[in-house]
Amino acid sequence: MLLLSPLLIPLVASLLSTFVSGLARQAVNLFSSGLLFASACTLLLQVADHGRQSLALGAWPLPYAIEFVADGLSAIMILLVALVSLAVSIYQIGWKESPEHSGLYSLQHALIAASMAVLLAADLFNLYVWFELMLVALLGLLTLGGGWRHNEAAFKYFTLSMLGTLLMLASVGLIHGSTGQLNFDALAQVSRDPSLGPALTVYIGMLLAALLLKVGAFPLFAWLPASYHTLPAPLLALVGGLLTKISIYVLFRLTGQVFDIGMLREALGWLAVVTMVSGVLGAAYHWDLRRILAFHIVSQIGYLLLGLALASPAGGAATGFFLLHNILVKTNLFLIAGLMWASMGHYDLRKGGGLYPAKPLLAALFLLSAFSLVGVPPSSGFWGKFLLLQETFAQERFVWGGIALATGLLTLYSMSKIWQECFWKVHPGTLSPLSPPKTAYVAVITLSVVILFIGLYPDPVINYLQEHTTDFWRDNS
Amino acid sequence: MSTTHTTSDNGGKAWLWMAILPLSIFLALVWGIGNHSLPWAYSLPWVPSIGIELAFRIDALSAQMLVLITGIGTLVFVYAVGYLDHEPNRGRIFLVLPVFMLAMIGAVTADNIILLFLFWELTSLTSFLLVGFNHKDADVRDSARQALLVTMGGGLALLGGLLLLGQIVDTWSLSGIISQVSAHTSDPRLPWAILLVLLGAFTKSAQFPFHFWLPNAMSAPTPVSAYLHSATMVKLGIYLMARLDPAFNNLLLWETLLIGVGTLTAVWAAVLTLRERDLKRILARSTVSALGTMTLLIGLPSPGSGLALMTFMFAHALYKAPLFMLAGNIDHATGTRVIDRLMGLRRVMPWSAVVAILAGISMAGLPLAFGFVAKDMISIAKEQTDLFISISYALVIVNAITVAVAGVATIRVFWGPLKSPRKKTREVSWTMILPPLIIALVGIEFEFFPHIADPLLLAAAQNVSPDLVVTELSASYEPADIFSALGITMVIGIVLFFAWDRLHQALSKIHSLDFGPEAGYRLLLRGLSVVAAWHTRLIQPGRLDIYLSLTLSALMIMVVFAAWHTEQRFAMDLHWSEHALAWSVASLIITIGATAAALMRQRLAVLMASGLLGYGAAILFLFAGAPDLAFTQFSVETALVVVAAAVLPLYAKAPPLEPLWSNPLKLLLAVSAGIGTFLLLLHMQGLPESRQLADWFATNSLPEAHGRNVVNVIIVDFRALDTLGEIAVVAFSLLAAMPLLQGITWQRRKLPASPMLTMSAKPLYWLMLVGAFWILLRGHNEPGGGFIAGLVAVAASSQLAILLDPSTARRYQFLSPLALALTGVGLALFGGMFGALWGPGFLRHLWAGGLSSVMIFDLGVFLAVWGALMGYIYSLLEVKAGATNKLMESAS
Amino acid sequence: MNLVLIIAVSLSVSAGVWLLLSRDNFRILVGLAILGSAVNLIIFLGGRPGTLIPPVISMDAEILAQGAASPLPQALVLTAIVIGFALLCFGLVLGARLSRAHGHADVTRQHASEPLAGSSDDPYKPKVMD
Repeated sequence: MLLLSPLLIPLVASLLSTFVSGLARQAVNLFSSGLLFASACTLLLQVADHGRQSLALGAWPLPYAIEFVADGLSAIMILLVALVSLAVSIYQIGWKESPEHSGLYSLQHALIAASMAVLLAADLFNLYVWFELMLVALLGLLTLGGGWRHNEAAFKYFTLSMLGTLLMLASVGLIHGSTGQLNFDALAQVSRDPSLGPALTVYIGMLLAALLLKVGAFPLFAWLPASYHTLPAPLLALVGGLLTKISIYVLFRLTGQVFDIGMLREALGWLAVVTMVSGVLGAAYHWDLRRILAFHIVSQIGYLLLGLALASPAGGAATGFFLLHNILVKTNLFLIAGLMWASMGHYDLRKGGGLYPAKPLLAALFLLSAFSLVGVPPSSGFWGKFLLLQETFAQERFVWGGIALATGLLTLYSMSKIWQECFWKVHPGTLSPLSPPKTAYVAVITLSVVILFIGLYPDPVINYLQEHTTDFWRDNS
Repeated sequence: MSTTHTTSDNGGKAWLWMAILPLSIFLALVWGIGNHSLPWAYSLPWVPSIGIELAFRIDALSAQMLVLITGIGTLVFVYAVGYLDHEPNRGRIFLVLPVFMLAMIGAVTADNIILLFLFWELTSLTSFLLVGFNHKDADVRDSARQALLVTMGGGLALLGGLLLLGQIVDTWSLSGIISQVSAHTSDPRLPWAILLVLLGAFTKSAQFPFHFWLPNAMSAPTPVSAYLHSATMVKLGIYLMARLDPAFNNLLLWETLLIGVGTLTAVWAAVLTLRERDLKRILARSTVSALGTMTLLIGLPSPGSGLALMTFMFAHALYKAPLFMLAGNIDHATGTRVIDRLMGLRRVMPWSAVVAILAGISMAGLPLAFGFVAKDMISIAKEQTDLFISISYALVIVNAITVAVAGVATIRVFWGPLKSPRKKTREVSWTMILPPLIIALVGIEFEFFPHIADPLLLAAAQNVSPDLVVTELSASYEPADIFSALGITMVIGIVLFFAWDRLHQALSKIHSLDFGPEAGYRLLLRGLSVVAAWHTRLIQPGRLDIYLSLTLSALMIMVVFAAWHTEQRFAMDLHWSEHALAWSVASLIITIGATAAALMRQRLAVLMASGLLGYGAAILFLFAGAPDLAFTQFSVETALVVVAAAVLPLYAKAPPLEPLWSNPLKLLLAVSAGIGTFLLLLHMQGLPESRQLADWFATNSLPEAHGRNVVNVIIVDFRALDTLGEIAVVAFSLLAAMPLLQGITWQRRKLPASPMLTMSAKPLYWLMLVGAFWILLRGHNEPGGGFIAGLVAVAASSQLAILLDPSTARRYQFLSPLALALTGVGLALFGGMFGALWGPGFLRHLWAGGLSSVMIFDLGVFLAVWGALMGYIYSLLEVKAGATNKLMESAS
Repeated sequence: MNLVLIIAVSLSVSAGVWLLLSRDNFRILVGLAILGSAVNLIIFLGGRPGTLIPPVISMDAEILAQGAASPLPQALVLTAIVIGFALLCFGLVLGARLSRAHGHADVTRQHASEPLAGSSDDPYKPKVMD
């Protein structure tokens, strides 16, 4: 039952949210986020003590039933999603940017429920179903804005994502048609069968291509900077921090444990470095804070893909760490961007300014997260990049490592641009007299403390990941 | 820039207490050196899983750096109190400066290279914040960013180099690397590691071509410049190179790079000094030149070079810091730093003049100051090895220019007739006089009492050049030696001093000197903008059609790539079976539908064609043993066409259709997709079919799940979670569409309502509803089930809405569509809970007699489908009189 | 005769892609619908259809007859059909609202959320570029 709670809690909350209104809705939002966080902690402890947990839905035997699995990696991902969800819920108290629409919390929780289910899913078709729920929930959140820009963004997201899910569905159908299996463990066995495995590569490649679209890899990421920036700050933080990372998790699981994609690794690595550079160039071009950060999502995805391309347990630990760090830092940056908007009155860098003298706390929080993104020690980002680079160099992939380092410099350029324009430069007009709600600061500070803690004391997390990723890429270690 | 003179704020003196921090460390250090012999080592585990610990090691080299950092640090803090007396934001500097100091301390004592890197980057970061103190000025911002990008860029290279080194020698310990790396000189990665590390060191210590950030960093407040950019931070690179020197000194790469770059830096910076008019910038350039000399000294293979380096480093700090502070004093007193407008200041700033003389003597290398000792050591080191003649001559020029600079900073500004832009130029406060005075005095004192500094310097020198044999540090006072040391450089220097202005004008006219590395930096930044713009406009232009083409092409390339690596198994199934005719008909219908959809010009025709395609699929299902599927496909396709046809009038006019061949890429993509699909399916045919799952379902459907319709049993029993997710998708799609469905104004033409039709509407509704329930109930054992029942109910409500009106139909549905849909999901969850509470698990349905929780689950499915679909259909059928059309509202 | 069916499915995919690349909002959606149907058929083909016997256990048997159709792909397709349908409904309504707001259904001219280069909202300062 514990394995089901990450799915059921937000799902029930989502249903409830439509039937209550006003303050009760806020209460449901907060309560369920808190409950979800608590159950995620419990799950993590359970997995840390007793190892991999598995649940066959309906208590039917495997591999005939749909399976939910929580191992070390998924448990900590679940915890992070719950943490981020809680932070965003706190941030949302009193956030006045978007009108109170009855569907907001409902769709938000549906999104969380679907994300959790994806993290737990160990069945290929079930995975597809939950991806579709994520898609619908995000579409709902996009259209909530109501204006034609929002609808246009939603339409672009809709068509491109549908393309991705159709490809995914086709590949699931073809994989099932060729192997007769849907369960991850069963598929892992089949794909290693020398009489069948090598023939499956094209279908696996299709599945990976579909996931690369969901993940935001080059050149399939167009939907991301086309749609994300129309969302209000708390939703953007939730979506920007989580969704692509959850898809990376799926890639992680599929390439690390389920399928053996030996020859495709090389291509994945090159794709990764191109994604890194492409994302950061996009960020360097823009002057809208949200669009800059959206492109940075793409760039960071490049790093994660590089970790996957390394295809070794050490690479897996590095990717896992980077994944966790990235979820926290990106969400925090988006939340901070919201606070910046509330103070400056604008998301456009050219029209903002003056935040350093006026809001020193915000400046400090921004510095922490921004430099963590760049990878300046002793931040969480540094450890992530360090682990990644260490493995990259150990595998003698010097070009990839060099590009990763150079991208760090470009990321620094981008962050320093934001700092210059919004914090140091004098505001061209007047700063907004309204101060953002205190609860928003609470959320940001909480996440910042976690980021700082991981940066200063990364050992437990690294240890945990090293312990729980030995099972990945077993054939290559 | 100086601030206006307002009444002094005596509360600022409280910041003097900050100086306790560096002072206490300094005293502790001195006491420690006196009582416990170096080296000291200390380590604490930090990240054991990757072998990084908080390892510190203080040997003589570190100790000497620490003396500079904390000693000069204390006095800088005191100076800052005076300098920032009228600055309202001074708290920021006093908060960041100690952090910087701690970072420097960490960097010079770290014994773990990753730890060192950490502190290294921290110094860059704090320096950024300090340089950008007057951030309202755009030039200051640019200078701060320039420093940041250059030093952190170098830092990234340093990281790469350190990583490589660590992997080559298999340890993160600095002392370990230094002692063990000689065993790995043949490793091909080593030259790269050295190169990258040196790149980091060069950027930090402003070596050519990364020197340009240092003069621009002079926009920082003077205490910062005196501390960071003369005495401490810029010496960090020198420190690292000195530390690594014993390990790499015998490598040609190391020697050549250091000597070459060092000399080039020294000369280039010295020459450029002549182009400056701002006193601080002059001093900055001369610092760069000194750093070049230090680099050169590290590279020299002579045994005395270590001693020369240590002495010079010490002496330089001791005369540069006071000179910078002096520049700050002049700035405060007169409001300017431009040497053209300053002269004869000794009359009004006597104490500053004293400091100037003391520091200037040391800088010029005259026999009364420590600088003289340093010069002596340098010449000894030069003699001990063969240097290219050109380098020797270059060094002479550099020295000469240094003498000239000393002259400018002291004699020119303080002697001669008084000239100052400010009428009432007064001496500055004691907090701004005492620190530079003390430092300069120390510089003199060491000359006369060298044995105080001796042991430390010698020990430090030995860390750098282990073959040092000198046992005591003293300068030779033989007249011949004095003459040779002083002679040429002094003469040339004095000439340059007097010719300063003419040289300045001559050099300013050489415009090619403008295009140095700094221009390169600016070009790079602009290039970045251009490239970023080109790239982003190319792949993210904002147009969906481009996105779709790009995405489809990329996806197809990926699939082709994957196919290339696949073992092919094509097979064709050509036997003619009994239903082949039906299948061929179905396939024909599908083909006609597809072709028509692609080619038709009218939207409605396109829609109908796609419907035809769907019907073809339904026929196929019917003749392929899938009755449930056939019915569902049939109903869904009909519903889709109905909804689309209802929505179609809301669409704006279609853009003109392009001819088939106008867009070759489009044609190519479509054709390739088709061919690809064909091959993919053929490939699958060639693979064996595994019936493992299907057989198990077939065997266990009745005994375990009590159902004969295996498909339905899979849907509500074996794979119920899929269904749960699916109805969630359906319900939430309605929720997501709510903002879109509101406010649609749709004028419906009322159908001519014949009374017979109207009268039969309600009974028909009930009849169909009953039929839906019957289908629901029988679904477990015969074709039927929740979906199909739901679709039948949808048909029922739709006919009621069309024949009568939507609001009646709504009333007869009891709940609002959204509520109904979500209740359906809730009910399904509820149904699944029975098994969780009283059975083996969630979604395992319990049976008691003829009843089962499976009914509740399927009912949930029914309600979800019925509610969600009707939500769409009602909105599309309804007339919303007077509803504002939100479509035309301006964008938010 | 699966070959005929495979050809039909491939043609459907071609048609779907062709429509997907159209300039018309509506046609794009129809293209997605067609692609959805095609993918459903692909899944169905995975079960190697060939028999007319539905997977329903007859009244006098305990297990399914040997020659019956494979039930699992049918269940998957059923789920996929319904999901696809819900999404298409949403898409159709979205497309309608969008085209009404713009006044046209041409996707090449729908870039309000991402201003084109050179427009007043262009993030790139034009004076630096050629």
